[in-house]
Amino acid sequence: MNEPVPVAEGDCLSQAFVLNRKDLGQLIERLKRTYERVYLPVGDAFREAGSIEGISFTGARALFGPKKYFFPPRESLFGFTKDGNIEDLLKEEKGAVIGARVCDLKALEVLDKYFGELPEPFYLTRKEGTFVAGATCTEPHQSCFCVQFGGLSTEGLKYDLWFTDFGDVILMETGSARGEEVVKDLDLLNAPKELLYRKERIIERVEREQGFRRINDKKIFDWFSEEVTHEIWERLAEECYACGKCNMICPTCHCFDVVDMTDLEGSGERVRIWDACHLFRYGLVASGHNFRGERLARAQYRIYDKFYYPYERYGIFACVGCGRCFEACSADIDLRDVLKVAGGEGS
Amino acid sequence: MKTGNIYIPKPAVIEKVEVEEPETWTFTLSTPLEHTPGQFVEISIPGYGEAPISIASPSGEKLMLTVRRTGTLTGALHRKKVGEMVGIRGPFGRGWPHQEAQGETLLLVAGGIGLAPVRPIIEDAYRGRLNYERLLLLYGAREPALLLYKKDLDRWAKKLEVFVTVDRKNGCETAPKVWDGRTGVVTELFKEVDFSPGRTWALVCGPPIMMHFATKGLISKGVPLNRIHLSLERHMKCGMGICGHCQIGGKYVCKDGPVFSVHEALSWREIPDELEGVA
Repeated sequence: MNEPVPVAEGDCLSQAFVLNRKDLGQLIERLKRTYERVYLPVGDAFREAGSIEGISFTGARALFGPKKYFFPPRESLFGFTKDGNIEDLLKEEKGAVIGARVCDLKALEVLDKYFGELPEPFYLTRKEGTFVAGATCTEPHQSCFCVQFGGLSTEGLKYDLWFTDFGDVILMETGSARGEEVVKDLDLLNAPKELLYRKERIIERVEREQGFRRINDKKIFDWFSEEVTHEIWERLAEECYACGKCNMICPTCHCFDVVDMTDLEGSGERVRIWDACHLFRYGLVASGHNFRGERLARAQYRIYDKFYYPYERYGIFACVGCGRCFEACSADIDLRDVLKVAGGEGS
Repeated sequence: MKTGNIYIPKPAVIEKVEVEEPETWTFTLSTPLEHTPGQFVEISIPGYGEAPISIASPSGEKLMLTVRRTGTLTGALHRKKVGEMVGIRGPFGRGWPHQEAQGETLLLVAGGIGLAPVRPIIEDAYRGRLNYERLLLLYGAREPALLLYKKDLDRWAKKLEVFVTVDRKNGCETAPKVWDGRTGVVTELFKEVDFSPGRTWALVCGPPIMMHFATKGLISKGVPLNRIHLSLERHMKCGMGICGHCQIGGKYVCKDGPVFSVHEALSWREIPDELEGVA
């Protein structure tokens, strides 16, 4: 990690730069100038940047991803007064999310499909006003399986900057005009090709350590198409507590409930709050009928809504292999077991 | 592409309230609404939330909503008086295939409050704005007091083929409210009516169990699956295909429906309760 970085004239990359770790504060200050608030992974979750002490972009994705920044757990849609006045709470917002991983960004692309179809103004407004910097994973978690969905390649991903953390130095690649704008002000040296090779070697190692292969999308989709009554669904339903933790932690889950929060006089806000399709009352209607009252129906629905329905509607899977659902699950349900059966590999 | 704040309802004034039965009232609002029959709106009262309600008025007329008191919002709505304000979002969703059915037989099968979403079609057909070879309405309610639009039913019967039944007479056996009409569930009416199944479009709306048996009956009568259409009831919370509550088999009932053909619904990987075991 601490090898000296060789710099050879004419052997540098025009869109890659070297940031010394001690200058990380400068980068964050620069971002704050344009984007006001900067969020980055601190421990388990993305938090607003305070001191740069202990900030690192090594390791793998945070347990709680950056989804909550683009789609907050609780978001006010509009305000109302008891006399019937309405206050529009849709506002332009600026922010920067840095240190998101490939799986986080792929998940945002999934959300782009769902929220883009409408188009949904709150999510899209935040998305547009947010500077995004990704980071290369340097170690996999035990629950990671992104290799099944294409691994750590950033090809085709949209980002403003991309970090690879080598310890003393951070390789910074630009991915957009916004990213170049920020780099320009920092007066950084171009990065030598060598750093990029080292990044590639890290990616190869992390992918190898996961120990998976790319799945065959069509094969998986066809399995889901045929196997609605496969015995694995019964087994999952028996194990599942239907607690909704996987919904809450999933980077592509986006269901919400809408409630009115009022003061004693009747003024307040209409608010949307994350909801979970695993919960019993999710499919309940006013007449009292519960259309997904069986736990089996709910356990199966969520997984179909990752591998079958989004593929049918948008041609994509709504799973990025981040493994958060498995890490959060109290019943130790591992989605990889379902994929193993679906992919026909050692059931 | 961005839009403004699509969650903010438009204000509307309650112009008329008619009591269909103590728990079910019909509200007429001051604003006319262009829509396709079978679509719905979200009605909103700040502090109480929203509820999806089918549109009972023909397109272009003042918005008429028949609402049963079942929850927070509908309870608050029943406390509203003429002249007070509510909020409206919509219309939302895909309506009935009533245009394709013109020139052929249209068979409407409705149970209870399920008469509301087909009312615009009946009204337009009654006034000659829609033309069918025949229009048959089979309508059932649990008891005589729960029948909706009683005056309309009598009026429609003058021009259209209207069949009404109640599950039980319940209190109407004797004067002053004698029920001398049919008794029995709405599917019993299939025995009474005769239609040519290949030239018929059937539109069904009612409680899940009623839609189940109505669909079964229509299939056994020989109506093709792509000509039987159901209006599914789910909790359409946002109405726009994003909150997820109404999803079934990967479809958003609020946006891709609420009207689906039986043929389409049976192709899903999650079969609606209404159609479990019908074919």
